[in-house]
Amino acid sequence: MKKLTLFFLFLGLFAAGVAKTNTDAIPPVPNPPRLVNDFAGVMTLGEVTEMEDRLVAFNDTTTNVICVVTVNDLGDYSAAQFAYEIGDRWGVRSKDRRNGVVILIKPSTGNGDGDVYISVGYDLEGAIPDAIAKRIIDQKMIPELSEGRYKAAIDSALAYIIPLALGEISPDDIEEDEGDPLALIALAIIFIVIPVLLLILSSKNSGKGGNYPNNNDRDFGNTIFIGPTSFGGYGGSSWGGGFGSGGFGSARGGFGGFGGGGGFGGGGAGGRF
Amino acid sequence: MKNISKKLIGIVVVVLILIAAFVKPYNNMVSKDETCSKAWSNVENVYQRRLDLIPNLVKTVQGAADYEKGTLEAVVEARAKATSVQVDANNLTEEAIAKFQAAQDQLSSALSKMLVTVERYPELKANQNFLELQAQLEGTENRIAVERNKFNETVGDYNSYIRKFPNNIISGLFNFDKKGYFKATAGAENAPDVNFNFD
Repeated sequence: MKKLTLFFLFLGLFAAGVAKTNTDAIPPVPNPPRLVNDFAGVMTLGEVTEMEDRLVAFNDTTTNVICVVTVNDLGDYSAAQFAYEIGDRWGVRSKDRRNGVVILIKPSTGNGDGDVYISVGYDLEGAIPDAIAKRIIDQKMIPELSEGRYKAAIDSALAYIIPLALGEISPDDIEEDEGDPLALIALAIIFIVIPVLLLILSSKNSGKGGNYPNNNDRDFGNTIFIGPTSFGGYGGSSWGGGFGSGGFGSARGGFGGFGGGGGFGGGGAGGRF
Repeated sequence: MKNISKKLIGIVVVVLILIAAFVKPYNNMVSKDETCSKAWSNVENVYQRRLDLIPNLVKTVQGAADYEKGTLEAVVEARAKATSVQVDANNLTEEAIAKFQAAQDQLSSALSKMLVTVERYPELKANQNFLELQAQLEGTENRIAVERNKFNETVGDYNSYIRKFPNNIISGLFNFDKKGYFKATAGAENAPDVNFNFD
């Protein structure tokens, strides 16, 4: 009898464990990736599309990733944790900057309070400090949210967040990072074409002359050595940075995708309505 | 003579193979150890952020008409104590972290007590400066939770790595010690929950 009770106890615990993993409230990454995810259905399709276009355009020009999520259920999470988990698991950031923002709204349903949270990625914490996020929520979002105007609330928040994030990383910064394509070509000529030419010349010399074969051999070796190492160092820093950060990777008209985890440290602010 | 030199070569080869086998785990331990120190400095940073916020918070609350002195003094005292307990990043033992956590948790509970009493002072609730300090404190508590979690994950990875066979031989030889975790102490899970409801 005792054994049987124990067995059922374990079965119960096991089931509870399984149930808990199954009801994890954090939604999986949307596929294809989208910046506006109205899981709670508080906006019309037209409103979602318009907002998505606006945020994709902002992402294309500045690499800042602003992600809007509405859900009907936060599960066991607080709004702050939920927004953090979305940011971390979805990887709301660009590839080489931790410049993501998650705007989370849980509408008030029945007796339950509504929750709103703005979670700010590491690199934008300076541009959008907690106190400012709090002010945006209290003074701009909550008055609209408590009237049920979700689209207006998000728009009023974006009206502040976009300029603030722009101050931190503006299109000018991005262009600087990508480097001048002409300079790239010039450097490529210096580091690839010239060593190759020298190589060809020196091998021709050694074939025709042949007076000092040992000397020529050494020159030959040096040229090979210098060429690739200089190129390797250059390629690592400039080419990689340029392509990763720009809008090159993202397809025209759609959001290119999230950058990866580790972009959030718990910064931001929230409120209830 | 020939036999002896053959044996010698055999021993040398075995020793070389052993050394080669030790190098990789050893280097991994060094880098994992370094990651732990880095995670710890992130933890210290966010706790320091909280310590830096408190003087302003106390000053603002003090300004409110006849605010209870006892509550404020408890915060100031707990802050002084928390400031004095520091942990060396190269010595992340269980005891050192437990001591650090105890001091910080005491500050957490003094702070949350203060914020509960603030509810009775409508002039504070209308004070923009106070509201923003509160928002910063709330954000800092969230950051503390995040960095503590990350630190625990890093230490967990390091601890299980140095205890696995045959890594435990190397960690024993070179004194890679087990590191301490942050524990969810009784009541601590409520203390950082600074939930401001000013409706």
